[in-house]
Formats: sequence, structure tokens, C-alpha cells
Amino acid sequence: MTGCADSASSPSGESGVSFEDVTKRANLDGFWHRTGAFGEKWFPETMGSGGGFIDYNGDGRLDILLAGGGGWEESDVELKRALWLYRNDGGGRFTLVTEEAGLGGVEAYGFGITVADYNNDGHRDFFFTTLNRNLLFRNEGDGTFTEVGREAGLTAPPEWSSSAAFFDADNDGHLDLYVGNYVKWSRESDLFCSVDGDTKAYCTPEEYEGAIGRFYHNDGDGTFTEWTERAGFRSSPGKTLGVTMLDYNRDGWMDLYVANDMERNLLYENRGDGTFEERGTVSGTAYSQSGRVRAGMGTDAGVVDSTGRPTIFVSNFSREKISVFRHEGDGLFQDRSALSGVGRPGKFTLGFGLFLFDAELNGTLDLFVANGHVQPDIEHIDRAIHYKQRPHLFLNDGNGRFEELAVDNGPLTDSLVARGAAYGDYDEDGDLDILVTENEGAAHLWRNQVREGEGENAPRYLRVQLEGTESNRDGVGARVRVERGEDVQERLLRTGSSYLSSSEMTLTFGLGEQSSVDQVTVHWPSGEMDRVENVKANQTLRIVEGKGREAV
Amino acid sequence: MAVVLAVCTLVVGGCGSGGEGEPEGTGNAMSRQAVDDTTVSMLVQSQRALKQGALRKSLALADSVVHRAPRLADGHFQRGRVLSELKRFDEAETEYRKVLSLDPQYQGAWFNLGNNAYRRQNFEKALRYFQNEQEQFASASTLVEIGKAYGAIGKPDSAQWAYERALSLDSTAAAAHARLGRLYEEEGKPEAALRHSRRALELAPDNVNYQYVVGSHLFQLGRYEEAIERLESVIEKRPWHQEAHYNLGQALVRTGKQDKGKRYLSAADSLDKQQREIERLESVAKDQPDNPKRWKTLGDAYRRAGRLDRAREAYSIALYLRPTSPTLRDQMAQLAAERGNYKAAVTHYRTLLRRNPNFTDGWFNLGVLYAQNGETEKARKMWERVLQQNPNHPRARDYLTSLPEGDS
Repeated sequence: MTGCADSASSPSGESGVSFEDVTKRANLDGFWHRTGAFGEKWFPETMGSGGGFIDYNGDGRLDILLAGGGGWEESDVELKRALWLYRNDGGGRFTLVTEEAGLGGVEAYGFGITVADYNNDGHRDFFFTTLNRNLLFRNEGDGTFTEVGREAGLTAPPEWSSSAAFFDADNDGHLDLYVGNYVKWSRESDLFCSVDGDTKAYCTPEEYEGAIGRFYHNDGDGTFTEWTERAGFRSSPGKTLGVTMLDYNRDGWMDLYVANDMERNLLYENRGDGTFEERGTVSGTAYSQSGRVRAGMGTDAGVVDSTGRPTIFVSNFSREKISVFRHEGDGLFQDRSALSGVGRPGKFTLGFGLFLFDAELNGTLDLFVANGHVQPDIEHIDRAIHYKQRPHLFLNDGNGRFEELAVDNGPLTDSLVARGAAYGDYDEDGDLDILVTENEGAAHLWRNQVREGEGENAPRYLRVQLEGTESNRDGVGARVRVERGEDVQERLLRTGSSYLSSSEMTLTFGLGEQSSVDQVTVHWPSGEMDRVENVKANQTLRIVEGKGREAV
Repeated sequence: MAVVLAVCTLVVGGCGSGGEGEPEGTGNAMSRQAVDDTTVSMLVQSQRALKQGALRKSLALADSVVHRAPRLADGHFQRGRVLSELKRFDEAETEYRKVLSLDPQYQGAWFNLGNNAYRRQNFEKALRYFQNEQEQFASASTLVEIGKAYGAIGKPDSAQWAYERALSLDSTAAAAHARLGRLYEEEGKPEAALRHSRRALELAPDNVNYQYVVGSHLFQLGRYEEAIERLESVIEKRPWHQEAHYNLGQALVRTGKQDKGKRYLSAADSLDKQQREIERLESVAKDQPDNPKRWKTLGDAYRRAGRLDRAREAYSIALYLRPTSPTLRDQMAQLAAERGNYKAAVTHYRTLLRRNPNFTDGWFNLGVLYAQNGETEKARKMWERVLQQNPNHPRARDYLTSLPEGDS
């Protein structure tokens, strides 16, 4: 939030934010991610998997969808489910409904989940990236899904895909799809990578050729056509792990940022017609400050300071700082990793899931990073680095300067082999909770307690849901501004982001002590604008394109 | 005749882990044992051979010293240094341990142990070793290494303390200023970083790394024109400097010189790929330290990149492992010539041709070397020798034809 000094709470000691691990209470403790590992140390085993929030049955409550991992024919390790869908029953409890939702028979070595209503029918669908053929699940609107990838035109050959994003590249009201691909790997082409020359270790991406990402144009009839070359995505070096969207030049056309693992990161600027020009290197977002390539993992973007300009964040490998690139104008970015305060604390962790959210509900976007190494024996190689690592929660002082929340207990002190991370208000109390997935491990649901026990003093919020009419139904790509006096908060409704994960699609604005805002403005991808004035705090506002406010 | 080895100009060398051309410690070697002239001479020759990259010779001489005077700490110390250069860190550690068992007060032994541990990324161990050295022989250079080790294990506050302490011992310690600059940069304090990096450069104006860091700090502060000047100078001296190319490209783009900037960014991209390939080859060589091919391949990569000092190091190891290889000796000679060391190049060729008189390329290349040095008559003899061995050698014939008549 720009300004907003009267409601900002300071980081660390003065912050009221804390999280409670509710995994077991929520009935999510039956989940266990499988890598299928049986001693061969095949590369894909280290990379998965993700999960996220989806209101699959339209009851207004956030359900949880998790990628179960994978198995190998040669392995005795049994993969129970490729997908785990948990229905939110209210009261903080979830029920596993994979089978009744039609997802029980899915067979895949799965990685990432991206949620959106791609066919504009009012029901949230999802795209599932895998090691082979990617799967598109259409929500039938009756609590079940049907896999329609092939018939919808997603006919790419089997390839190792990672993160994906639905976005409307050409502003035609239909969500297109960008799929990040990692490397060309198969069991047959598996390499013997070793640290000591004798024992096999997990390989790193340098050893494999990158696989280029793919772009699918939504034809508006429930099908897609691959336009990778036509839209300008052919030059990608691959090795993609994270994808996020932003409109850094504010031209109303969605740009795309792609985080790559040991390849330069990519910034695709939308030419204003749904085709793209790659400007990563010249914009200053492709490399580290010294121009070295990094192992980019998860990524997100948002306005984190009073400039009103977006900043891109990328989690990287251990001994690499978290990347922080702020748009300075004219398509050029400044590396603010050190200036932002996240550089040094992030140097000794290997970050995967990464997202911006207002943890404190004070009007500023904070930064969460889920960490965990890829080499189980890393401590023998580098004693300063651990396999299981604590996550980071960096609190924003409102000027784009972050300080890590110092905690002695609670889930933020848990060392994990984390991969995916997403946020959502599953318990409908107005603050944002966290979902973290582990490699060969559990999923964790951490309930935000920032509003708990504070009564009237609890920080206030405004949640905004969008429904596009001329624009895509979800309003993906819409820019929402919340203003009170000179205080302004701005969010872009995006899919993708983080790592292999999907956060909720409702936008949450922290209002601190403010009891209302002067106006909420939505700039739709169609170019339309809606404005709602005098909005009270602590409510969910639904705005329908062209109609303004609608009761929730 | 037995003499007391009073002063030996040992440099605790070749161990700088930061590659910044920083002081690498102060060697000592006050021997407590009387040794004969021959042993002293061998020790000195071993040091000289190490400096020249003649690792096999250096090690043989050090071995001889140890054999002749097993209780002489200096011999083991020198052996440790050669083994470190050969990346045989376990064996080097054993030698340094022997040094300390013979003379617990031996200056430089803990320091070199620390450097070996640092190179192997065992930073905590390195820290302990440097601290041991510091307890016995307090110095700014050891404190700098202590600071680096603290930084590597994620203790920046302790690193800062070490660098500041180094400066309190010696305010002219350029490396301490440079490191403090980096710490401030990491902390998001670019002005303070620039102050220290500038001071480091004032103290060591020829240090190209410091020149780059100043340029990089100027860039971060948005002082693009000043940064451009500095970075252009770095690239002139080190055309392979990838970071300088990148920062210069960015600075040029940000001052409206788009086309020129893009050219530097494109070069930075290529250099990044080259650097990554070198890092891969370094890793392969480290994993297979007894495989001369790996070191030669690494040396070739360094040489292609223009990093001739590093190339020499790698070739030296390869040559140590395969001393009779005429190709390797030829490479060493060519490299010496490229580095402007004519005398060393000739010596390499003489050694090579003495052992392999039928190695035609050696005669040919020596001829080229002579010709480049203006010694046309010597060149003529070499190329005539080539034609004796291979009458159809087209280049030798051409070159001979192009030579002017008479001696130079």
C-alpha cells in the first residue's frame, strides 16, 4: 500500500502475525507426496510437487488440490493417487473426495496445478503438469471433472512440464495457456551424476538440454491451438520452473515472466496483439546483478512500495540471493535484492514456492518463500546448507524494504523439504492462510492468526472477487485499485506464480485500522472499468464487469 | 657444510581462495634444524620450480628435501604447497600436519590448512584453522580469511568484525576494505560499499577485481557514466570479464546507448556460457584429479577464454601427471609465449625436443617463436629441420620462403 502509515505494523517483534499448523485438525494428514525413489536417483524425483486452492464445487469455500507425485514401474513404491482433492466442509475440516470427483483413476507423474475457468462456464477447471502428457481437467459443474486435454487441443508430445499460467494474451476474453517445460529427460537418457565419482547423486539441469515452453491460444470454443512460434515463445531456452504475469508497462496487455533453472530468465513483453518480444537480458531481469545465470525456481510479482511499479521476485538455489527486480520505467528494472533486505537472509536457503501476500493485513505485500534442498546429503558437501530448511516470511515496511519475521515457535520454524506454496483464506476469517507441500512428505496447512483474539482491534480487510463478462470470466489480468485518501493498494489478478502451485483467485487487501475505503476500481482486460465507492471493511466484494457491485 | 637455515623466502602461496590478488600470508620458515647447503639449495629450487609451474620438478625437489632432512618443517611445508597446487588436498593436509607436529609455531601452516579447507568448501574447518593461525601470528591477511570464512557460513556480522579488526591492525589492508565493501553491498548499503571498494582500489590501484567492484558499485548507485568509464577499463585488461561486460551493457542501455549496450550484453551472455563450461570442467577435473586429460581440457578452456594464468596452472597439473607428453609440453611452451615469457617458452621447447627429437610440430613451433622474436636465422634452422623430417610440410616451406636472407 502506498502510504498507509497509520495502519502499518512493523516487522518482527511488533508484528501481530503468527501461524498455526492445522494440517491434522483439517484432516489433511493422510496426504503424503511420493517421489517413487528406489535408489536410482532419477532427476524428476527431486522436483515435485505442488498444490493449491480451488473452489471446485462453487460453494464459496476454498478446497485443496494436491499433486501426489509419481511412481516408477521398476519401483515397489506405490503411488496411491496422482491427485488428492480435499473438499472444504466448513469449520476448518476437509474431506478427501478424489474418487467422487472423478480424479481417482488419474495416472501421472505429476508436478504442478494451475487453476482457472478456461471455458468461461463459471466453474473452476485446472491444468495438471506432468512428466509426460499434461492433463486438462474440465469442471463439469456437478462436483466432478473430466480430463479433456487431447480433445481440447493440448497435443504436445510427452515432455517434462513444471509451472503454467492461464492468462488472456490477446484480450479476447478467453484464457490462453503458457506451459513452462523443464529439461529433456527420460529413464533411458538418465545420466550418472556424482559428487564423489562413485555414488550417484541427483543431477542438476546443466547436464540436460532444456525443453522449450509452449503457448496455447484459447479458441473460445473449449479448445486450444498451439501458437508457441506464432506468439514469439520459440526462443525459450527451457529449464523453466516458475511463471508469473504482470503488466509492467501498464499498456493493458499482459506480459509474462519466466524463471529458469540455470538458464537466463525471460521477460516476454506483449506487443499489444497477443504476440511477445523477449526482453529479459536488456531489461535487467535475466541474470543476477553481476550478470550470472541463476537457478530460478518460483516467481511472483506485485507492487511492494510507493512507486506504484511492479517488482518481480524469484527464488533461487542456495548460495544465490532471492532475485528482486523493480521496474524503474522504460522497460528497465533495477536489481534490489540487497536493498530490499531479502538478499542476505535468502542466501543460505534453496527457495521453491514463493508468493507475495498481505500476511499482516496492514496494506503491504509481504513475501513468503518455501525452502528445501534437492540433495539429501547436501550437508556433507556444504555444511552451511541443510536438506530440510525453514521457510522465510519477510514483512514489508511499506517501502519495499523487508525484514524476516523472527519466530521461536510455530510452523514457520519447521524445517521442511518444501516445494509448492500457495495462499488462500480457507477458514473465511479474512486473513490469508498458507499451504505448503513437501517432496516425499506431507502437505501443511498453516492458519493465519493475525485477526484472532484481537476483537475490534483485529486488522481489517477487504476481499474482492471478480466476474468478467466481456473479459474472461475469472477476471484474470484485471488490475484492482483500492483507495482511501492518498493511500492506494493495487493488485493484479493472476494465475500461475509461485512454484507448481495455485493460490486463491479472490484478492485480499489489508486495511489495518481502516473501517472503509473510498473506492475500489477494476481495470478489466477488456479495457472496461468498474468503480465501487464507499466500501466498508471486513467483507467480500464481488464485482461483475459492467455491472459493478454484486452481493456475495 | 652444515648451515642453519636462517631465512627462507617461503611465500605461503598459491592458496588465495578469493583470487583477488590479495596478500597470501607471510611465510616464515625459521628452521630449528641444521641442514646442509645442498638441502637448502633444493628447497630454494623447489620454490622456484613451483613458481614456474614445474610441479613435478618442484615436488621431486621437495621430496628430496624431506628425504634428506625429515625433521625439517620447511621441507614438509614446501611439499604441502606443491600438493595443494596439484589439488591433492588430503595429502597436502597431511604434510601441513607434519609441519605442525615438528614445529607447532610454524607460521603459515594453519593458514594454508585453512585455505585448503576453504577451497574444499569446508568453511567451518577453514575458520578454525585461520583462527589457529591468528592466535599465533596475528595479521590482517589472516583476519581477512577469517572474515571470508564467516561470510561463507552465513555470519556476516562476524565477518564484518574480522574485516574491521584487520583494518585496525593494518589500515592499508586493501583486501579488508574490498571485503567490507562487498558486505555493505550485500546489506543494501551501496554508498558505504563504494567508499570501501574505492579505498581498496586506492591501496591497490592495479587490482583489476577492485576496479570492477568500484565500477559495479557505481552502476548500482545509478552513476552510469562513471561506471562505464571504469568498466571499459576492466574489459580492456580482462576481455573475458563476464560481469564487467554485463554491467557495462546495462549501464550503456540506461544511458541511451542501446545498440552498444546490447552488444556488451550479448558478449556477456556468451561469456557466461563460456564461464559455466569452465566451471563444469573444473568440477570434472576436481573429481578426477589423476586424469591428465581432464586438466588439459580445462587448460584448453582457460586458454580459449584468454585466462592464461589459470591455463598454466591446469597444464602444469596435466604435465605433472604425464610428464613425457610432447603435446602437453608444446602447449606449455605456446602458453608461455602467449604470456610473453619468451625464455620459458624456449626452455619448454628445448626440453621437449631433447626428449622427443622427432616431434616435428615442436621444431616448427620453436621456429615460429624465434621468428616472432626476430631471430630469423634460428627460425630458419628449425624449419629446415622440420623439412628434413617432413619434406612436404607446407607451412614450414612457406615460412622459410618468406624469411629474409641473412642473420638477424
